[in-house]
Amino acid sequence: MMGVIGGNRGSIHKNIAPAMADINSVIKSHLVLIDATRILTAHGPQGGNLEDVKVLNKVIASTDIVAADAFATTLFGLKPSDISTTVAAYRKGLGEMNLDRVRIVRV
Amino acid sequence: MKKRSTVRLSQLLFLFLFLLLFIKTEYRGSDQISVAVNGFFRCNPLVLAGYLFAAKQFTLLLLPGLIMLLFTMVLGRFFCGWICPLGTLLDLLTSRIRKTTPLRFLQGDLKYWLLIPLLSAALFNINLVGLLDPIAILIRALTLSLYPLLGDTISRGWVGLYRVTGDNRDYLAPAYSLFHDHILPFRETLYPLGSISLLLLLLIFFLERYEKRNWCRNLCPLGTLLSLAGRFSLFRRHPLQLCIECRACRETCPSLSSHGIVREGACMRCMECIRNCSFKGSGFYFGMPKLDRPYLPERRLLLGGILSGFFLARLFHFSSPERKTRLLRPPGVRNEGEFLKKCVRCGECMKVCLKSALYPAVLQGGLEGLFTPMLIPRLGYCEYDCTLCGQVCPTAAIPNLPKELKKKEVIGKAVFDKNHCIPFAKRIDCIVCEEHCPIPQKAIRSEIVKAADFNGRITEVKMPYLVDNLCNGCGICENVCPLEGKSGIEVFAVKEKTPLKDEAGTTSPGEADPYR
Repeated sequence: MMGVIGGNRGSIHKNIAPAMADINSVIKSHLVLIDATRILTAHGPQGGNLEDVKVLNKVIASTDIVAADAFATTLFGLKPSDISTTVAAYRKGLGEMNLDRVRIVRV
Repeated sequence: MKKRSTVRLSQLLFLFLFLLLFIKTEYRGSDQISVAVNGFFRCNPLVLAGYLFAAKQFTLLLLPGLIMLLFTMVLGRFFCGWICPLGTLLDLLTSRIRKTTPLRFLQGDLKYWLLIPLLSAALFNINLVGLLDPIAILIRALTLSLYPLLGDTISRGWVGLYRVTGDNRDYLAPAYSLFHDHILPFRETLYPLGSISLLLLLLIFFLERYEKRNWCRNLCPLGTLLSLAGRFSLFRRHPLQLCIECRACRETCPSLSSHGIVREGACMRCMECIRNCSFKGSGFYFGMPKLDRPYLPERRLLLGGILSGFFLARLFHFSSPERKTRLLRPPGVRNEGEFLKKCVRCGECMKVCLKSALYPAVLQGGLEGLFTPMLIPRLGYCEYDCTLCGQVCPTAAIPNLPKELKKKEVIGKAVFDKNHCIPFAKRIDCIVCEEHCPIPQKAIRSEIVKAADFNGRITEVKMPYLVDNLCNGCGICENVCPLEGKSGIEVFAVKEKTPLKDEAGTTSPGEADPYR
């Protein structure tokens, strides 16, 4: 989503959860890809420490952006409901965050 | 047209080298800059003298300057006639400028009144040599003014060209990337003091109206120093007086005195007199110098110069403390005084700065800090992995540190301004600065605080705080702060600049890492 925002990008960062949901309700994504070959578990997103990097070698693909995010959350050992942006997007009806209702195909 | 002389060939070669090195002194995708225009300062005896007098120590970096001085003692002031890029530019221009009568007030001892106070002020710890060094003047005019202008013109021009060519623009694209990869500035930056730097250079060009090589013979402190060193050179012109029959040298010689006497020290060894001699009467020979002529500068001049240097040093030393609160020096500079003794104000560090963080100080560091580099975080920040400024600094005023050490050098310390910072002032989450902080353990962290928002509801807000002993003052937090204009977090100068400790030692008991 970063690429579609011009100007003072940092300014949408305050109250980021509804802001992200708003952008996604205007600019719809058709296919969501999440690269989880290596994930940074702490001290990110810039800087970070190699000790905080976990190698998972996973790639997530989905047509539902909320479901993709919700699944990615589990890789960090968290629940989708822990992430405010996911919750806000779910409430706005942008997708499914309840992983029981998502068909997950592992390849 | 006459055949080009060896001297002119050498001049053009060095001018080309100078411009080539200037263009090479730029980030071109590599972490290392192998060659830079700093070589022209390292073989510059004026820079050497200023450094020796002010820092009162020697550095091997300036050894070429010492060698140049020794060569000058034997060969005379050949640097001005054969090498100096500013001199070459003047030589190329001067034939196109119609001359009026020489300015009387420039002649005589004025040049010593520039050089001696400059060196004497250096002795009293204020090194202003870089302000009037010809190479520094030239590089500043290029770096701060002409080069950004070139970049801007070409990139804007190219956009226009794209509009005109329409669908054929793809044929033009490779040419632009060629320009951008090899010639244009990496970043488009505009600098304060740019127009003044350019004006100073243009003033030197303007002086050519009055006399050939007016700056070089009457003002240039480097030239004056070289002519003092080359006074007793073994490589001498003969005859010392103009020949009665011809006097052609009067027109061609760039360093003849008004009395028609060839002054040994002032002679730039440009060989123009030989090239234009119709009688083959003039020439250069090796011979012992005559030592019986009066020694310049006179005692009065020397004493007066040293005294005025002392007063100059006092005068320039004043600066208001509150201006200095935001005077952030490049990474690795630990002591302001030591830095000012070594900095030649050439602007190379500003030119290579990857994130356009360095700018010339106007009056933030007082008069003595004019043109010295300072970090302005709101405009650019110090890239954590970059060491370019230290690599190009000619005198190691900014030390050339390996990446791992540079990361630990303290530029300043960030401070939150709670009246502006969004979570404090508006009770809204933000964490932009925290996310950008490049320190592996994060110098900016936040704690979740329960606070009443302005509707009276209790909410949880992430309040940021700074771990002081982890912050290196790189300024990225201030740079990215989403507030308009003034940032909610600002980097302030600190005197205590001990580098950050190793990672193991950074987390003191009171600063337990909340992310693990």
